[in-house]
Amino acid sequence: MNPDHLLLGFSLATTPVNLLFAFLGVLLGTIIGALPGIGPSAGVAVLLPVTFGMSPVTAMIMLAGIYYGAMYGGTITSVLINTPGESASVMTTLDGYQMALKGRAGAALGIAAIGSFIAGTLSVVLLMIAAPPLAEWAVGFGPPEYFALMVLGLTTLASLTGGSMLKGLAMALAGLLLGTIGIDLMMGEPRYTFGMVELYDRLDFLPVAVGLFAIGEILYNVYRPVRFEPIKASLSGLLPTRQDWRDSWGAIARGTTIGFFVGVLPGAGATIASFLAYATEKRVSRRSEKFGTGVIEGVAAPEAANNAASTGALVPLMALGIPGSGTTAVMLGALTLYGLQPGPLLMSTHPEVFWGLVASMYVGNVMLLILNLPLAPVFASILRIPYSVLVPIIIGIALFGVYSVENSIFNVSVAVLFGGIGFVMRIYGYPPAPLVLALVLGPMLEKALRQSMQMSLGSLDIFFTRPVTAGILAFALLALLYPFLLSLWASRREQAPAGSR
Amino acid sequence: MTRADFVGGLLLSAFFGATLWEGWSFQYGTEFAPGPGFAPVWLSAIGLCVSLLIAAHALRAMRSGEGPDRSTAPALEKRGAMRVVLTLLGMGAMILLVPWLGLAVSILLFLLYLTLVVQRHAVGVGIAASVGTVVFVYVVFVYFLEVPVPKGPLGL
Repeated sequence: MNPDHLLLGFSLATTPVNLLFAFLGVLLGTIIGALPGIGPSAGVAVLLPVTFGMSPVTAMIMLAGIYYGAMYGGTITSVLINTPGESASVMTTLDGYQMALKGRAGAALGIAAIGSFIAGTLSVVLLMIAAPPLAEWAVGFGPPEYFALMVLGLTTLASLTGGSMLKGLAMALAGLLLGTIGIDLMMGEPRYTFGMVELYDRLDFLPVAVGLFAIGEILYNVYRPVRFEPIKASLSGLLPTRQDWRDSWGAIARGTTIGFFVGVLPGAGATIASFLAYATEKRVSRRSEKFGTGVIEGVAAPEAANNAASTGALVPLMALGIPGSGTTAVMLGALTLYGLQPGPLLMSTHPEVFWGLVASMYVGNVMLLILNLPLAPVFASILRIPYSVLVPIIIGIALFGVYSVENSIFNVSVAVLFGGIGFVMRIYGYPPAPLVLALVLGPMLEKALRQSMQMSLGSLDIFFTRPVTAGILAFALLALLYPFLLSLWASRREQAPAGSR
Repeated sequence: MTRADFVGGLLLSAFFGATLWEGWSFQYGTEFAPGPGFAPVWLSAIGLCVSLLIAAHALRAMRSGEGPDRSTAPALEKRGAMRVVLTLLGMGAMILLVPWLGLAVSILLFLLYLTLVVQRHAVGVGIAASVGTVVFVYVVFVYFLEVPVPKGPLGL
């Protein structure tokens, strides 16, 4: 790691403009995270058009701020009203809400803020250490390795996304197909355009992402309005006691480690990281039987993990140009909208983007701590605004934003169409993240496949004779088969005692 | 899995079947590399298999009388579904109105319709939320970001 790069990053991150947008990012992210129903993916997608007038560095600083700000924001509702603001905060409800019922909401929010700060800061150090050598190694990657990496990202996201794996896989395939819309760049043949000129230049990812993530969620809220429980918990004593520290420091350290490494894996994400961190903590704790009754380490571990995972997810995004989640897929799309070419060369051709982002995350985590300790009651008061009043505000910003990407009403129509589709998917348990990720990766995946086959003169051997490619594809296959193998193993275990009886 | 999953699987199969049908019309391959039709054909074919599997799983579960699992969707609530249909119709009307009324006025009318007719807010709350939103996004996108928007007779 070249120290000059980090100095360059800090010189960029500490300019007044970038400090302002980092602050706005973490502030908006915290609010977005606190609102049940609007997750980081929707927040980043809806607010992306607002960044169009900015430099790529400033825009990425703001978008990343929204991303990790939302990770903390989800905690507030988890603790105060037992409703996770986003899926990565589900595990926090188990002990956080119980702490609130015992009059310790302040301590729960305090340890979540401090745990998130420690995890966020340590994982930025890990990001700084891990991403540059990975990018340097990946510079030697050819199209077959890229093809394999993208397949791995899609299969893990489809299989780990929760609910039915088949549904996740179907959505990934639908997203890849949507990615083929437009004029084929190699042969010039139009595909699935049905004579519509607007589709010749591909289907833009942003209207699809805004439709699926934001408008779909809003429609779901129109369908089944969110009603917040009145906040009964008092918010005093935000600073943890000495005993709280003793109980939590190990949980924060383990949560950070688990979160970062799970976050780096394509497709795994913050939700799985927080689940694993909670499960690990319960296993290693001397008072595991008390988990779920309001123990502070049950809040500290998942909160540290979900913040570390959101930073870990930036490793494959920045080093390889491969997003591992719905939110990082939107951020990858953002990079291309700013005219940057994501991939291992990004760090050498545009070091200011990566190092500016890294430095801003140190600053942003401090801002998040300063914001969240004294202002937790203010964020909690957002929950007093009826959610249905926020619906027109979010829809208005989403529609105007989608229009502004290409000044196109067609894009607004696409967002509305995918909003309807997203609502149906939400009702019937089809996850939107694999579809958006596949739509973003689809064109790159197809290009890598075709270039690979050209290299091998049409033979598929190229995917099995190159060790890195074969290894990554083997992992992808394992990710795909893992749920089946797990259920097979479980049914055998069930049958074994039955047979022995 | 439920009846809804069975229908969903069949609808997805129809989608992938249609994309497979259309995909056959593209050039499948060149001498040494896949052509424009290669990815659409294979993705559609695999998608068709996966969606048929979803339908088959649902059918098997329905026949064996298995209880609902975690991927099961609840039955649609009619009143809520009607609100969603009304919202989508409103969005469709908004898109059609843009060439005549401009983007800002069309979105304002849609938001008023959403808050007052669909969500049934108090008139003051609905008007405040709708007008406030449009003024905010107009200032951000049109004044600060200088996005050119279609304007209507009011010059907005």
